[in-house]
Amino acid sequence: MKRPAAGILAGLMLAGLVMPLAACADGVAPRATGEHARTPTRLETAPRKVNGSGITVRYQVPAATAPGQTARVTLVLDDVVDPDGASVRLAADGGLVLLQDGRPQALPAGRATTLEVDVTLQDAAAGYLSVFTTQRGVTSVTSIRVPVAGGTAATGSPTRLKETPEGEKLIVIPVK
Amino acid sequence: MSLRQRRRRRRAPSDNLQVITDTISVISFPMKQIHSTRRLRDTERRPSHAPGLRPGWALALLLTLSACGGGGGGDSAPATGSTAAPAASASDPAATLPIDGVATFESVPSTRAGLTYGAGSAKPIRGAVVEIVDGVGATVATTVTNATGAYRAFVRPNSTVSVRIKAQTTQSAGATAADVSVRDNTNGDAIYALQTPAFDVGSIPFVRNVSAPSGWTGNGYGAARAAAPFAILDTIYTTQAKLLSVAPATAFPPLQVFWSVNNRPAAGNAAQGDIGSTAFTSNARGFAIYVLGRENVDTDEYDASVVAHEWGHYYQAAFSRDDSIGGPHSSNDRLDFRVAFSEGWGNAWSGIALGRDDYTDSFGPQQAQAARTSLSNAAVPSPGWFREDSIQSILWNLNQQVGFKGIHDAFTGTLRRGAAVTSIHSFAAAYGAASPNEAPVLARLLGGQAISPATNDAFGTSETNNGGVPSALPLYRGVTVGGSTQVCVNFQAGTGNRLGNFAYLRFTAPAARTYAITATGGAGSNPSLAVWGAGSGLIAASSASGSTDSVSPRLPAGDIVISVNDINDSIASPCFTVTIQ
Repeated sequence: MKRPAAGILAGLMLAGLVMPLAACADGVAPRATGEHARTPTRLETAPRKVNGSGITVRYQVPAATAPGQTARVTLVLDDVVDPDGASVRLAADGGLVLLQDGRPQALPAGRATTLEVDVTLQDAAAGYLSVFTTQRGVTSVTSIRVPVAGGTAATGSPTRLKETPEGEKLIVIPVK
Repeated sequence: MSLRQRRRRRRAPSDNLQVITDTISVISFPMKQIHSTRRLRDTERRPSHAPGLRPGWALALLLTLSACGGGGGGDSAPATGSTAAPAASASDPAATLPIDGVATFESVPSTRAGLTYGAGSAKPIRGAVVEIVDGVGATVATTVTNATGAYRAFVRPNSTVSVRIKAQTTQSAGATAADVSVRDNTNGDAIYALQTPAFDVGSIPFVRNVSAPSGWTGNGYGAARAAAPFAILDTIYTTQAKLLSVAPATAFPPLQVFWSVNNRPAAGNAAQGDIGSTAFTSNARGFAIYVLGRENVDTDEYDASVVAHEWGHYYQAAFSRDDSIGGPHSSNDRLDFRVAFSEGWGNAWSGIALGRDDYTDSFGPQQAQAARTSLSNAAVPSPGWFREDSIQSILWNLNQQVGFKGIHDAFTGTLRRGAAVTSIHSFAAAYGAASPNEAPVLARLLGGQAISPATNDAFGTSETNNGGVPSALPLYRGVTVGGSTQVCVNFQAGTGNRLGNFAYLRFTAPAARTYAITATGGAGSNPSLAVWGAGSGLIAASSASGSTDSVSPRLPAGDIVISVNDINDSIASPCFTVTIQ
């Protein structure tokens, strides 16, 4: 899948035309992909919502990261067809902390952009990196799960889960 | 499950009558009969609050039901037409004390500015199951809310009970009510329910209203999001009502909706909330819609456009036919025509069902951002049969100009039964057959989107717009039994589900028998085959590895369609030789 985009990406990487994140709020210097020895070996394609920006987000995350340790998420943003370009903004969700500035930055038209994003995970639950992409005034968001070693994602409140005498499971929400 | 099978599940009038006659314990009747009982209940309600009247009410109900029995159903009132508070079941003869109430939820408008919490308003919870439960949680009475959110139940005087409103409508609420439930996929698929504190009912009739707040506390969800499941249920109720307005006898297959505050747009395990996106699914477990709910990321419970879009996919799968392979898509994309038609229909349907001319989808911090799409806009860049925006414009404007009846008749007519895969061309032919008087309107709309205006050409033989992909035409290439033909696919418009990724062939099977169909490509290719037949839908599909793929289905006589694509997508423009023996 995505063979043409991968070809573009490979060419861009060889030419060093990848884009680091903008200035970091915590003083961690932004780094271009070319400065790192690691080349994404397998990228997952993030889900795309109906009527969204149309930008394809692919990513790679470490298999598991211990709480408090830094993890690097690789993002490849593609399918920018608007001649005016597009933009991306990052946000943390769940137990994830962004170590870099997530403010919007431009995505050039006609080529893939690679970002490397450093994050930490605060607790034993998985954290999520939210990626907001905007093109032609339309924004959509996808979340990338960053798993914690030995952790499990939070689920619904078990205290509200009731089983009726008839055996039916209900989430009971008290109301006045 | 076929439509025929689903319809068999509807109760015969005599079944319903039998239930009422036996015990008066389960009010289970078609909506026509609910409608008929409305007058009775309206007159009864004034003096009815005196205990002891209920047996007479039941007798009158029985007589009313008898009078309605055997009708053809054509004059059935849709669920939305009922305004009387449905009465509860009560097998306990001592349950003579009525409880009346109205159930509401806080509705938050989804606008081009995102969710506008300040403009929230109370709306009725319509068609939902109401249970009266005792001190240990056992159900002592069951009823449903009506179109105004009103309910009535009977309990024992001086008993202690709670009122429970479930995010569920059930088939037993009437023949036109769907079995729809909103569940928490991160919590054992449990059904959401509102429940009041326990209270002593005393000995005189009284009112117990129930309201579900949004949980918004000014800058975040600081309280339980009680209204969310009911907002989703309300959108589905509205979409059902639109369908019932042209097809009152519709029986809806069960639909489960999964929503959670943990539902994020992430790939992964749905039980952990990683649902990918708000989406419709159809598999051996039945029909389901997953809905996003993660605050400050993407929530869809109040985005009626999004929920209605997915219900449009349910409609197509349940009552018509959807050959779309799904996958990523947007307005910018030139799509395989099955995908373009399915997604364009979903968008158009959201506007048709909700009475809107736009589609809005909120997201982001405090849900204060939104994406908006005009559904009425006919000025689509580079339009065509491969653009979902072209399809949504055609279908939305068609409904606007001549109504929904013809569209529904097309979906449930030859579009469903033909050999041609689902596309705007097969829809146009089905529409032309079902509504010949309105076909010129559709022809003009087709022409306005640079699509062949023929409304009698399911295979699009007169199509001239190739979308910049020359190999995309003709839409179907001819092949003969005993012969072979070469077809090529390409990736000019992208991969996976884009224009040109699939090649289509058609032939006429001279007799019903087993046919051997083979696609052979060059080194590095990996062809995949699918076969459809008139009246049969998808007959066979294969995705074996290697440069040759084959299937040997038994085919009916008549039109047959084959699709070929390259799973590997690794050659710029792979070609395949297709043979039929």
